[in-house]
Amino acid sequence: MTRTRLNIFLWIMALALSCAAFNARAALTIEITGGATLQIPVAIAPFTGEEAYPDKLSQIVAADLARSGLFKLIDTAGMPIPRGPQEVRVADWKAKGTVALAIANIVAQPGGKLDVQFRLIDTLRQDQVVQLAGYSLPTSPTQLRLTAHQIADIIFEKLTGDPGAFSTRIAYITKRGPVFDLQVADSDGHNAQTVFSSREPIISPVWSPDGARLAYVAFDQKKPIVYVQNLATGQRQIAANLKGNNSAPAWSPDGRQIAVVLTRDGHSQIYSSNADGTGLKRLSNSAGIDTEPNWSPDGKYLLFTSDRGGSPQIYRMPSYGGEPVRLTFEGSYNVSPRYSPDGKSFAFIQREGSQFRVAVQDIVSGQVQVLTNNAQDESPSWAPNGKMILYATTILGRGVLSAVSSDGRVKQKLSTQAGDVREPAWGPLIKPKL
Amino acid sequence: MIAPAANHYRFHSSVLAVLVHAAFFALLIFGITWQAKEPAGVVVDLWSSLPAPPEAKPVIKPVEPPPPAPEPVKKVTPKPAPPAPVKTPDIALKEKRVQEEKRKQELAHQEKLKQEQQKQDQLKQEQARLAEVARQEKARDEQAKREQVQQNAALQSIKNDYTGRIESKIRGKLNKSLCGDGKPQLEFDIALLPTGQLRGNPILRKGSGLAACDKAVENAILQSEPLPVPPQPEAFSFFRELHLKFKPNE
Amino acid sequence: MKRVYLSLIVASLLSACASEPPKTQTSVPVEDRTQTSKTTTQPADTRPLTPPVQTVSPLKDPKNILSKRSVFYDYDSFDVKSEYKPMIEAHGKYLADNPKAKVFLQGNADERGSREYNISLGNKRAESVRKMLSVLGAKEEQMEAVSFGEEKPRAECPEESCWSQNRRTDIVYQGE
Repeated sequence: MTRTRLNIFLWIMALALSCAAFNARAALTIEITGGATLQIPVAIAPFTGEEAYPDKLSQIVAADLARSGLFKLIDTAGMPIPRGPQEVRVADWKAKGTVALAIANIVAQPGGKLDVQFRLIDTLRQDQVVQLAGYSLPTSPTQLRLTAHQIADIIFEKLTGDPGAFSTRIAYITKRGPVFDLQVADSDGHNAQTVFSSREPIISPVWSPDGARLAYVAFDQKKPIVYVQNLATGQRQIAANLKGNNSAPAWSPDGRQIAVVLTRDGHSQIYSSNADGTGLKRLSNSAGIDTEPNWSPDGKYLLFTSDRGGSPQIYRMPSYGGEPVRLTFEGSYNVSPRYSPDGKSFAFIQREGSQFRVAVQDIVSGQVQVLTNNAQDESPSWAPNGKMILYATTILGRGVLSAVSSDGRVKQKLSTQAGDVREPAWGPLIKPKL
Repeated sequence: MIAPAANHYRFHSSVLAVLVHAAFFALLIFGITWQAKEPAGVVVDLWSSLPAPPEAKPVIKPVEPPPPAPEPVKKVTPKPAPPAPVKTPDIALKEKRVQEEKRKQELAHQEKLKQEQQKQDQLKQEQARLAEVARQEKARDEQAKREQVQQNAALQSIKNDYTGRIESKIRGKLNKSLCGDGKPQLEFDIALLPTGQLRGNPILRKGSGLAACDKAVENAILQSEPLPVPPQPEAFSFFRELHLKFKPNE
Repeated sequence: MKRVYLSLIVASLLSACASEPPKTQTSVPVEDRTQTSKTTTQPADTRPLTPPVQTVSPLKDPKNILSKRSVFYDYDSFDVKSEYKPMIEAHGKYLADNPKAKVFLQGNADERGSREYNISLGNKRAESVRKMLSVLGAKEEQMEAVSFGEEKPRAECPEESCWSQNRRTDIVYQGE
């Protein structure tokens, strides 16, 4: 009996092997090495019901995606607008070259509320309708722009694998005549609101990690003082006001501490304190200028600018103080370091001749990539997903905000109002409740 | 829990399972080999239509020499005749009888020799004929082999050509910017129809660990539809099933 | 917040009672430590300081060297050139002679480069003047070096003719 079993087993093995051999012969192997750098073709169909509102949601979503530079928006003109996934004629959309189609319905709810039912459909799978994402987003007529940005975030994440940063906010300073305004706006520049106004300069706004507060430097007492302002209540508190200058605030990633630059000992040195100004501690120790501290995302290090070597260069030190390491060596003027959200690189301003440009340096390799080609770039600020860097530049004597993708391929000028705009700060990613 | 009885049943069921499996495998193999053999029948058609016939002429030429070959064998036969007139003695009657006898014997002997000679000649002839047949067969085999090689080379070049075309079409659609900074490697299996359309969806065999990268590669395959495939059925059989290996960042 | 403004108004009204009419922009003494931030709401902290009694201050007299207040610098430099030494010496003597006088040394930078780095650079310029005044007999509590960086340019144009005017330290007396 065992023998017959063994025989059967051997037979099966032989069969299996011959099958395997056959398969190996049948399937030709083709190796495809390399690829192209392409924009993702995506179509955003007009949302049903959007015509009842001044802001066309589908257009806001499309504009967000286009601004990132990663997407190619496929024209939906002349295509039947599907009201549900069952109405999507996948083959027609595939023929237009799109890989995914966004469709949505805006449905009125009792009490003036709205519900945006959104779906992202794979247009390459022919056999059946494959839904890449489907969400029902409760909103209201005044919150529709935010909902559109949230939809753009979902599409961005589904198709690129990285979180979107469209539903975030930015802060910046405008100067109109003698008046300085600290403003907060949506990432596309819409919904701008002034949160603090002064006839004296305001500089260096930075977001608390929870997005609820802004720290900034104001000169309304004839010298630089660091304030922290709660955005919901408008309440403003002094965070650092010692003899001399108080400037360059930076939040620790846990939001508990602020690094500031004080000249109370005569020259600019970096200190840390609690957000309310208590527990002051000196961190840097040089005879020259140490300024522009910036915390690493893991809270372990501080990047800063120092002229201890004779020219302003970027250094790194432990966040509790300690021996600094010089990181920049190219050129005689490297300032304004800002860690990327993943902590692997930092953006900064590098002077080349008389030009000030945005550059990114890899922390480990030290490799530098200059991203812009303008004359007067300042204040780089990372999008919280690390895909874009917002910065201030000057065009025809007027300050404007621009953005560049972190690989330097895509450059955008942000639509801004009249007046000088400067000192941008990109707010954190606050996950919406979906 | 498992009683011996259960074991008994289990044996039966396992035999059944094995048989079903064997049958299944057999079906699989033969089913597919039939499919694979089908075009082989077509090859003949293709063959005859190709410029093979003119080349086949030299095959016939070596067949002609055999007829002249037996002739030299016939010429050899008169040679044994001269030994006969060697013995002609003029002696007495008695002796004549004896001589008669001797002559008869002589003749019989000569006849015998002659017959033997003929037999040998026939044998030689037969051997030569067999050698010739063998030679012809060998020549024919070599010709067939040569043709097979030629045909294989032609197929191989078609195969290489379309492999390159498929590779470059998919590569052009592959958005490698979705594959991160590392060096991901992915593998997909696809099945194709003779039109170059996909039969079913691509099957991910080895992922990159990045969902967006996996999807980008899948989309590149789907967007490359129809894939370029050779129109010749024999050549297409190579492309019926493809195993695609991707290294987007290299 | 309103209370702070109220106190500022009260303070400016009080100073308006003093003999010399103040300029439209009232500089508020800012000595408050971080911990005192909440107490800025108390009006008692913002008493006006008695300005100099003379009807014609030597500081305002255009014939007096004390009316000169600005030190200019080369690009990326904070060295005080010798041409400004007599003027700084006069201010040093004035501060030593008038212990109640208080001065702000306001450093400035041109618009090129980082705003924060320019604050530090302006501070170095202000600090260089402060140190000289200190050597000349002015007391620490009489002086505060601060910086406006590139934020308060005297001249605005994207070239050296303006930049050279913006790289400077201004000597500003309290109450001015």
